[in-house]
Amino acid sequence: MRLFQSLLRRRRSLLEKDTSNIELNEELQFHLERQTEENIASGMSPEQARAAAKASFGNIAQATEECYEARGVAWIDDLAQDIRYGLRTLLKHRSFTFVTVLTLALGIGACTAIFSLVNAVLIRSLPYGDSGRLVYLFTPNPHIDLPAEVFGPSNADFFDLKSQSRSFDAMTLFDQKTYNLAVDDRVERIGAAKVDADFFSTLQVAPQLGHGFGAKEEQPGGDHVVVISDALWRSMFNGNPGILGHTLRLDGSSYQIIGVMPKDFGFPHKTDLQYGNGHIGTTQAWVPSALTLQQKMNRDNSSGNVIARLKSDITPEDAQTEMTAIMARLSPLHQGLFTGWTGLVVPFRDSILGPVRPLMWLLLGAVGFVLLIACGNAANLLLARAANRTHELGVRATLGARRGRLLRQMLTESLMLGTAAGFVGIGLAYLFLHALLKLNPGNIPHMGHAALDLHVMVFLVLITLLTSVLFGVMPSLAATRINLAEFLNSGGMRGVVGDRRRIRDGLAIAQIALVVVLLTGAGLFLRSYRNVLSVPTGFSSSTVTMNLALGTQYNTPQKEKAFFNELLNRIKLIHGVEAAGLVNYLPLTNSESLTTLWVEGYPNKKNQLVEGRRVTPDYLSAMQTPLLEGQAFHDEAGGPPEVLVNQAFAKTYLAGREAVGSHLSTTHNNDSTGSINTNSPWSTVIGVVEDVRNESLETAAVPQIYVPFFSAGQMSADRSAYIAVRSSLPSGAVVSEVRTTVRSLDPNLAISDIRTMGDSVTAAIASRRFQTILLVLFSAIALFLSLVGVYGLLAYSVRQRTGEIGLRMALGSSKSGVVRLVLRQGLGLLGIGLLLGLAGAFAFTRLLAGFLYDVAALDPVTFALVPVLFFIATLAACLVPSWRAAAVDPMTALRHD
Amino acid sequence: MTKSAELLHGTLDLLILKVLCLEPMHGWAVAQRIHQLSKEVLRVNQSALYPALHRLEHQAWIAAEWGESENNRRAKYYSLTKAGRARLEAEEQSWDRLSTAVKGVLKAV
Repeated sequence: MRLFQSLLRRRRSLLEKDTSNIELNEELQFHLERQTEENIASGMSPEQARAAAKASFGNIAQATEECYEARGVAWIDDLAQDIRYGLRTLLKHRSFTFVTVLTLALGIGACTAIFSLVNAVLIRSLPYGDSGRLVYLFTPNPHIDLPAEVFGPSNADFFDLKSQSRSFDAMTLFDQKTYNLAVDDRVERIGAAKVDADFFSTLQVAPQLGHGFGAKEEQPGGDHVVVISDALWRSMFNGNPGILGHTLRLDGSSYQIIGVMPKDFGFPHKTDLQYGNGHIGTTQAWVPSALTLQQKMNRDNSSGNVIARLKSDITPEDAQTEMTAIMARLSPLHQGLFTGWTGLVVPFRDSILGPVRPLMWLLLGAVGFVLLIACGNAANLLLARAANRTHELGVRATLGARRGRLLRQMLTESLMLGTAAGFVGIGLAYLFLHALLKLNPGNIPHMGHAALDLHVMVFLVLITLLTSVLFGVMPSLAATRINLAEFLNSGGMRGVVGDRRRIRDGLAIAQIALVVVLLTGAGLFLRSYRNVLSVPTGFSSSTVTMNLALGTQYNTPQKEKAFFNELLNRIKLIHGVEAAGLVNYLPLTNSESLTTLWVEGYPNKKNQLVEGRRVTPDYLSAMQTPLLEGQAFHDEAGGPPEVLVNQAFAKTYLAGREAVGSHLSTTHNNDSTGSINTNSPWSTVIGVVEDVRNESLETAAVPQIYVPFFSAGQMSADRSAYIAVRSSLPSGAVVSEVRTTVRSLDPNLAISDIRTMGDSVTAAIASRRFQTILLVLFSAIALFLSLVGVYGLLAYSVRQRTGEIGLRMALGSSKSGVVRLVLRQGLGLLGIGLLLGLAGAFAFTRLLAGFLYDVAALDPVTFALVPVLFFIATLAACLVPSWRAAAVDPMTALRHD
Repeated sequence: MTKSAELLHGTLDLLILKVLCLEPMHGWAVAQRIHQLSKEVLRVNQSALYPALHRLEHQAWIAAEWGESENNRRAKYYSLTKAGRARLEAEEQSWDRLSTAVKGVLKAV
């Protein structure tokens, strides 16, 4: 109520300001007269009395002003006045306003877009209950030279961990799998997960329709049920709410739909598992794993993953201690070659966000630099204008405006500029964000959810305020530091104040230094990108590849071999196809098989592993991977086992020997004595092929072997293979021909993962391209801003020195002399800025080392090129004002001011 | 007003409220009354008095009304509001506490 009254009063005073001023005047007048009367009564003459009354009253004007302020309306009134005045001046100086707003908007927009990304990836919580309590469990083996996150617990280990541990509220074992899903008369490949009954409850997500899996569904035999994703529900069944009970055909069998997950649930996503199935971006269907008792007892490593929820009073470290103890008990139960299985607890958030965190910080840092440069620019522009306003402010100060009042007005103006920039910045942020999402490299978790939401808007408002203060305070302080005596002595002339130039020069130097740091970073990224692009991949980028998984009826090696051989023969008959082959794992798919290795005549280590790929004879030809020595596989490999090795293998294991003709064994049961199991046949190396970048373009090839695809009656894992086709046809034509061929053999089969090797390369470097493009873009913006800044500074300084320049010319200075004068100022700033920037880059780029490929953080080429390019760009910005200075007409100039 | 008799910051409000609690009066009378009641020790500077009155009015502790003065002139009369009365009580108590505390210290040392 009080507040309400007070507001009412305040409003009344505002509206009736004139009336209340008259009343105040009357009131004070009454006081004076009453005092005068009193004085007369005590014996003074009327004149004396009046004078004494006035003297005792003090400063009437001051009292009036203070009463006015005491009524609490002063600031509203001032603000309104400041805004009106600010609008008028900003509109009057349109080009100044335009450049300042645009500069700031660029900085704010870029910052906001990047923040919306960081918000989606790092800040927004994951939709799995208290996701901070989720952990992955792994059972790595330190004797095997592979990342720990490759080793999910075996089935038996999982059940023992579950029964013996006390750290977890829930834990679940799940495995990824792809299915051929029949849609109308087509077949599609979808990513799915085989999960146990605790899967959804561990993640604390319940289906929006129906229910998850219970004990009944997890019984072998009761498992032909499926829970589908919201996306699948909408695309296949138009979101029909009566969907429960309908069936889906997966790999040719019927599955009854018992649940639909909520929108946005697609766990595990590609980014959720570091060594998951690379084909699965988002999981579309969940089926019960329904393990048999025998499967549950299996302690062999599988591709299963375990995620668990910590109890609320248990830290990951506690869980780690417990798991280490349990695994120490379980390890001896493992059969097979390796002993010493251990346990590892990795918090879910760390696991999925760890790899992208440095990139997020890098982007935020870069964009922060851009914002700082934008602020510097705006501050410089304001300072230049403040210098022009010395006269105006001086007059106002003389007329009694206090410094605080002038300061407030200047800050109101910068806030107005900032607000305008904030609004334009929203638009720019929207555009930036759209461009960003187009560049989505696919390995940044939840990047697709980045949006200009409430969080981001709050951020935008905050940085807008922050920038307004940042760029506004210094110029305001500088402009309002008015020495009245000096101002009046100068006769109100437009004075030039020296120390402001120092601030402006300092700002320009800081800007240049920041830009040089950014440019150096961008240069290093570009060089890395070029290096990655020019890496010899070992395969042709035009080869078309696709995946084919056979149905369950191809359940013997003979049936599988017959089908694939027939398929390859038919593909080779397609007109234009030059070669076609199969491989179990393509390069750049993040999968390969590992086998033990024993090389004849080499000091073999215990448990030596090697990457192996199964290929048909024409695969290497289809991929155009050159054979360097020896010969390729024959069509009918009936004789003794043969093997191809890559260069890295030859260098590592067969150094100093003739590679072709050496022997190795992959089925060798190597115990510590090194004795050879006579049952394991030796394979003969028949050829050496060029190294292929299998893991990523940035990882050099490790020793690898190739074995015949259909060797020794082996089945391929989930009966799937990649088909590689080299042809003179356009890739689209190849794909449709192959699809027709596959259907003519079996209409229930679908080819998936269709792409050229070039597409795979593009996908493999997407994240590097993403970071490179962004850094280059930010540097370009920063460069542009700093050029505007340098240009603005010099142009302003030329305008201010017009009188001086005219005088010099009148006294005989040549035009080139004048150009030199201005250039000297510009280049001086540039020189200092460059030096500081290079020093900064020297310190900063070390932090970038992890992002670079084959480029030193202190790469001499970059460190030499950046200053040269920057110098050329800035020279252009300096020359224009210099020429303008040279064009000054001495007579006009002397009359200036 | 001598230096020593300078009002402690904030006490002017208290004095104004106290003086006004007896009867409504105009600014000049307020100053006079404070002067008299303080045995001519305290003299309120008018350039402090009127801002204080306006501030108190703005805070709704006192209300103003135009009326006829003792010399038949139009004058602005201030009177204590309900909120002002409560405020006065609170201020008096805190002043008591303060002055007792200060006295205590002065006696103790």
